[in-house]
Parts: sequence; C-alpha cells; structure tokens
Amino acid sequence: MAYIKNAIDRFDRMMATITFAEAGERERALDLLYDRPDQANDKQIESGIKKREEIRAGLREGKPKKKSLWGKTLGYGLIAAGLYGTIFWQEDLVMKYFTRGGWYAALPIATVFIFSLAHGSFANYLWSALGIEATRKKTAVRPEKARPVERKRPRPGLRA
Amino acid sequence: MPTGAEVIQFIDLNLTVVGFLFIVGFIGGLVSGFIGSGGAFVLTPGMMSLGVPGTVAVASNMCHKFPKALVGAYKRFRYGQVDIKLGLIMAASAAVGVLVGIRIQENVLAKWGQAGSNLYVSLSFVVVLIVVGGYVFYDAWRISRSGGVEQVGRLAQRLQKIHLPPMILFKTANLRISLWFTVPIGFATGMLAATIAVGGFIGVPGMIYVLGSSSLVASATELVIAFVMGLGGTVKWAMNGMVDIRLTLIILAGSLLGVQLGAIGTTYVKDHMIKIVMGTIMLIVAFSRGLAIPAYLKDLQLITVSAATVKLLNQFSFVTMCIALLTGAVIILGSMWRAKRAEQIEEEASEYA
Repeated sequence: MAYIKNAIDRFDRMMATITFAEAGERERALDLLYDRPDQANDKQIESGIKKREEIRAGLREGKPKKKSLWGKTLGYGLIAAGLYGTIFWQEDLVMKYFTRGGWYAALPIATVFIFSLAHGSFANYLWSALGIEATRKKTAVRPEKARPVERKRPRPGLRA
Repeated sequence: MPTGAEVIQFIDLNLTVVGFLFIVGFIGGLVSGFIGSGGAFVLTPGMMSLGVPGTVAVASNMCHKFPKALVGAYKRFRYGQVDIKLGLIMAASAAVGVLVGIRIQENVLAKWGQAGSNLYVSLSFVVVLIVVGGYVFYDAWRISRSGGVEQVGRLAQRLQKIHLPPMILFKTANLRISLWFTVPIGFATGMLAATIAVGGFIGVPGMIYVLGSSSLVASATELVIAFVMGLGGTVKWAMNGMVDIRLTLIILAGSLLGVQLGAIGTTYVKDHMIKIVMGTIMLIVAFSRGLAIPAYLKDLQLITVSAATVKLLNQFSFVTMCIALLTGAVIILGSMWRAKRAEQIEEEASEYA
C-alpha cells in the first residue's frame, strides 16, 4: 500500500512539474523535479496535490464502480438474451397464439412490457458502463421571456 | 371474424431482415429520444419494402412505439424535462384526433380508392412538413445567430395572458395557460398521427410556439403523448391479430438502445439543436414524399408517367427518407461528441488548475 501511495505521489509531482514548466515557472519546476527544499513552494504544491486527491475521492464516491455497472449490464443482458432466445426458439407457437386476436391481444402487449424492462435496463447500464451519461450541467432550460422596452424619456413628475 | 393469422401471410425472417430492422430501429430510437418523435415514417414503408403487409407493418410499428416512448419518457423525466400533466392533457385530445383522422382516411379511401388515400397522405406530409419544418428550421437558425438562447414566442405570450378558465399551471414547462389552447394542438397531433404516423411534427412545434414551452420540455413531453397513443393503437391492432411480435421485438432491440442515447444527448446540446434536427428531418422527408406524389397522380389518371419513372421515383423517395433519419442521427451524435469532448477538456483543465 505504501509503495502504491508513493507511486501516486511521485506521479502527482511529475504532473505538477510539467504544469509549472508549461507555465514558465522554471525554477519551481526544477525544485519539484530534483526535490530541492523550498518551503513556500512545497506548501503550494502539497495543497495542489491534496486538492487533486480530494477531487479523485469525490469522483470515486459519486459514481458507482465500473465493475458493478458491467456486472449489471451483463446480468440484464443475459436476461434479455434469454427472453429473445425463448421467443424465437418457439417462433411458430408464439405466432400461433399472439395473432389470434380478441383476448389474446394481451400476450403481445405484456411481452413488449417485459422485454422493455429487461432490455431497457440492459441498455441503460450499458451506456453508463461505457461512460455515456447525462452531463451534470443542465436539464430543462426555461425559455426567457422578452423584456419590456426601456423608456427613453423619464416619466413626468410634479414640481415640488 | 378472421384473425390475422388466417388472412395475413407473415414474412420469414433472415439475417438481412433482422439486421435492417435492428439498425433502423436504433436510428429511429435515437432521433425519437432526441426530438420526441421520428422513426415511424421510415419503419412502416421500410417493413413494407421487405414484403410485410401494410396493416401488419403499421400494427407492429405501433406495438414497438409505445414501450420505446415509455423508456424515453422515463429517462427524460429523470432529467427533469417531462411535464406529465401537459402530456396527459394533450394525450386526451390527441386520442380524439386519432379517431377523427382514421374516419377521414376511411372516407377518402371509400371515395377515391387506394391511390386517392395515398395522395391524401403524401400531400399532408408535404404541406405540414414544409410549413412547420421550414419555420422550425428558420427559428433554430435565428436563435443560433443571436447567441443560442430560446425565447417565448409572441403568440405564446399573448395566449398565456388570455384568462379563459380553466387555467392550468404546468410546472415543468413553466407556463400557465388555458386548457382550451392545449386542445387543438393535442387534436392536431392525433390527427396527424392517424394520417402520416408521426404526430410529433405538430405536437412538438405546437407546444413550443403556441403554448410557450422550451424545446427540451416539448420534445420530452411528446413522448408521453406518443406512449398513450401508441398503447391505444396497439390494443386496437392486437385485437385484430395484426401484430407480428417478432418484427416488433427486433425493432425494439435497436430502438431501446437508441432512445436512451438520444435522451442523454439532449443534456449535452443547446436547446435550439433540437429544432435544427427536427427542421432538417422534416424538410428532407417532405422532399421524399414529394417524390412519391407523381405515382399517385398517375394512378388517379391525372398525369401520364412511365412505369419505369414511377419505380425510380419510389426508390428515390425511400432512400431519401432513410437519408433523413441518417442525417438526424449524424447531427445528434456529432453534437454529443463535440460537447462531451469540450466537457472532458474543461474537467481536465480544472483538475490541474
């Protein structure tokens, strides 16, 4: 664990070095690269590293783990595949009853509801597992109402 | 009464048919999840081109439409975009519109035959799509030039000020308007759905320009109306044994993937992008249906055209409809990709700031 933590810290220092170098802060970048003591710089760098750790922790807590998403995708995928397999394996029997009309109309309607639940859930988890999710920025945007035109002349007032 | 199985020949499935239906289902679902409607006008003629009888094509299409609309509506409801009250109120008048639309179709068919009915449908397509689609596209272009912020239109503002009880507050759509102004839009949506199978081309612009809703809420709420109409229509067709569940499930396999992706896409793009996609698709489909009109005029003996020309025009018409869907899909996916990349770059920049 300590080895992994050291490796992450070192990686963070390298990234911070590159950032300072790109910003033209040559001396600070060299301090970081060769681990030269500079207390003022160290505090700034440490706070930057800490901030990035907090961001990563937040991201980890906010999102469900990738493994569980793929697990759910696979689970619902297997259910959906099983349902499809059943329908097409017994195609002739299914078509015989599903096109009888009358009260048998409930069969195709119930079937599509069940398939929507299973396959819809599979599709939902698949997109999430692939990282394709709604952005956090916005959902519904209310259209602006046109503002009234500003009066160019002031309203006449009573002279005191 | 003879059932579907006794009088209708259901097609045999092969890999080509399955692949075609899955892909068209996916793209139709993608467009539907984004603009609130779409896909139906390609699926029905697409299935018929595979040899599926017309009534089976319509019935199977409708049977896949309502669960797709349900899934799409649920997804967008979670994003806070669906006004359920508005959707259900409009669905009530849409149901009446569907019945009236079907009755008009039956009268046209009885008076002028199949050719007359086809001409009526195609002319409806062309007129509605050019007028509404043209305006939607122009409005989207105007908004994108002026900074990308939607505004409530003047007509909607005026109608919202008219106090005609009962007045209803639609919280998610953020508008308060008389119930009586929602009735003609819902009615027209149902009539258009019964005529050309896509009610959303009236419903969504109606909610935007007449009621004053945003594009996001209008396109999301349309999915509620589509669900109600689809379920009602499916019950009617299924009771006559016309639903080919195999075709329905194959299309559903693709469309449930697409509709969720389309719904996610709406959270990445600016509001006027929905209008751009909708307007683009409507104008291309109008052109496509325009290409099919000479065939019907010939059948009614109003013009003289060779059989080879008619066949060529019909093929172009179908290909153009597919291009309409593909164009919509490319715009949606392209916009999502650009927005996602921009968001990732922003997140990376803030992490290292």
